[in-house]
Amino acid sequence: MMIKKANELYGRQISANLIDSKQIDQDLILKRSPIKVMDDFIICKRCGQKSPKQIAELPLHNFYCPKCINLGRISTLNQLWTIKEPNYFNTFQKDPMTWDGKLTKPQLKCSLQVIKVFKKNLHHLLWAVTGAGKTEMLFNGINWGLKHQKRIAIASPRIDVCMELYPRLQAAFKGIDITLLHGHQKKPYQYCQMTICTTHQLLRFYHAFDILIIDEVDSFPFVHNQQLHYAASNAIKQQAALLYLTATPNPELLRLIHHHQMTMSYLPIRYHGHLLPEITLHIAPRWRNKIKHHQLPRLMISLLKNKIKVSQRFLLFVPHISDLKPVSKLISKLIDPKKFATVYSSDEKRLEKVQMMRQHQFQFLITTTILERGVTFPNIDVIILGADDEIFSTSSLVQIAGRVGRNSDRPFGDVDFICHSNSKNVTAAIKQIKHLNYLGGKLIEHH
Amino acid sequence: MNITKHNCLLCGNNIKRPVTLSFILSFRPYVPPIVCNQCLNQFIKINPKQICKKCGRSGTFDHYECHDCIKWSKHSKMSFKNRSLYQYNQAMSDFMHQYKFAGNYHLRNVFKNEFSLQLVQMKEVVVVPIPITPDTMKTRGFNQVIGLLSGIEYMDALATNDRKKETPQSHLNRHERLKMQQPFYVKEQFKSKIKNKKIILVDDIYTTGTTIRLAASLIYKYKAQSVNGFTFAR
Ligand SMILES: [Zn+2]
Ligand SMILES: [Zn+2]
Ligand SMILES: [Zn+2]
Repeated sequence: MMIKKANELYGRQISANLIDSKQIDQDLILKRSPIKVMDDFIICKRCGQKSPKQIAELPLHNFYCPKCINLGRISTLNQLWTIKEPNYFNTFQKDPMTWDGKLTKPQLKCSLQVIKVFKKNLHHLLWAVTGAGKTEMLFNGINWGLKHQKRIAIASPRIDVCMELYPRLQAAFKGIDITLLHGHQKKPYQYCQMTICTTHQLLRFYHAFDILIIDEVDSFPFVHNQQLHYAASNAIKQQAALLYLTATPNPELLRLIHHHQMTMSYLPIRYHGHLLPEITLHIAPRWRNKIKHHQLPRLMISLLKNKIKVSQRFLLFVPHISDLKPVSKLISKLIDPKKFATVYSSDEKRLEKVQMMRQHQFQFLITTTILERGVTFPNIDVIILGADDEIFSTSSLVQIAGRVGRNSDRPFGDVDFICHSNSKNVTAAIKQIKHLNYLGGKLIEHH
Repeated sequence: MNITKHNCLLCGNNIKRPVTLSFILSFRPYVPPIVCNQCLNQFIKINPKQICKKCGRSGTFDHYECHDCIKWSKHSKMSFKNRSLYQYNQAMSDFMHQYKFAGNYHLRNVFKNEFSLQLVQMKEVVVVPIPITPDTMKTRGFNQVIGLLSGIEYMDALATNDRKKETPQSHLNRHERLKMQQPFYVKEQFKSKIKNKKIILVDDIYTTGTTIRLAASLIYKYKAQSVNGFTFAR
């Protein structure tokens, strides 16, 4: 789709071949060459990545960037065009926020901190436990930003998080136009004061945002991804607030805080005022071998039987898709197979099965890591078989544990990890939850 | 045994291919794999024993030629055969999209050696690639056919006539396509060089055969001894 309006270039970086140049005042446009050509490699100005010349060359001494080609190729054939972000937004007579919910005391404290981060253009990490209600804590800050003509973006590495945030923000700020951008978006781009997008889409922005919030920073593909980190730093203005949200910060983020390159605040208790359920660790040596010989670990059998006896609903996580079949086969010898199902990311009946779980047609699901975030069921327990498998990072273990006790009706529950032996990630997850609960406990004492 | 790690150019997954002891002892240069086996297996080569002997389409045909070719022969008596390397299936369509339309020129490396090897084996022929328009050259930056040639001498004899963009071919019916006017001309400096040569026209995809036949009929005007086609996909 050709860009015909100047405002579609505000704070963006777009290859000139996608712009109808006759429609736009050329004097406004900042034109940059998109590729820096060095001796042996090239550097892309859109995504910041280096590529060896031999994988980036075109005939006639032209070059393109193969690293961000999925957003549409940029090459030395075309310049990168930008119009400096002018913040042409409406002024508000009254608060743009239409949300009238109430924040808990700890949430309110965090939300004031968020406003301070925005006011002072800080780079800040908000470490809020799973189920803390972090979206609501942003509303006051966003309200402040909108009133002060700030251009705001909320980005997440995960498209499902973006899809979920969009209606919530629309409901909280009725009458404010919000642009939603992701790889499957069919609607054309529209210039709005507020943008919700995947972190990939930030690659199309250049010094646009006064406030950038990145939700779930610890999740794939943002974590350890230089390109997306570059995109985030390039999408914000030189003076801008950058707020990272996470339930489980990775060591990289904690290091930045350690080196005072970023400030941090905690929200260690959940919106219902309770602590995180702690992890119980069970060691079942060579459980995988057992399963090969058609046996479940004995302690797992008793865990399962107890849950069935008291009709406790739960999720059973296994490390790999290939584990689903043998494990479910063994379980169906103990438990009526109508009571459960297996589900994985590319499962064609994934949504259907999750829906059936919601409607209590299953008592439990056996699944892989895909249900670790986003998907929540009330009053659930979790078991991880093989929590020490390398596929489970510390952050995903904490996230899985965080599925439990989300509801105020049952703010507690059981989290059981079954391992061949203890692993670094398991130890770290247990420690992280203990630490948060220690901080949370102090907070509860105060009130 | 070592496992080397590279990412597949098509799906992005790690390619794990064991480097065996016998390989190390063979002292052959190590060429890192660029595409994983899973992706490669989705491309289907045309079996040269089961094709239409005229247009090279795969399948078994009662007669020497396929239904389309019988129709063609009613129109023209031009001697023209085509052969193609791969079937144009979904995987190939996706590949061409990435290579040609998304402009990922590096992807030529997946097939260029294999494609060029076929051309090398044709003796005493002159390779003439089907050209792209100057407009396409300006936006794409490369001719996708020439991109598939590796170490092949070719004669860049054809150029496109300067015409307004027409309805894309896929919107035309067969009859309209046949009526299409000549999209190519032979560059001045090559006019004399075609005489008595065995010309192989190369193109990326053979869809209806219209384009490559129009080029062939043009080349025949300059007294080529024979003109045939070779395309990457069919
Ligand atoms: Zn790039
Ligand atoms: Zn692949
Ligand atoms: Zn045929």
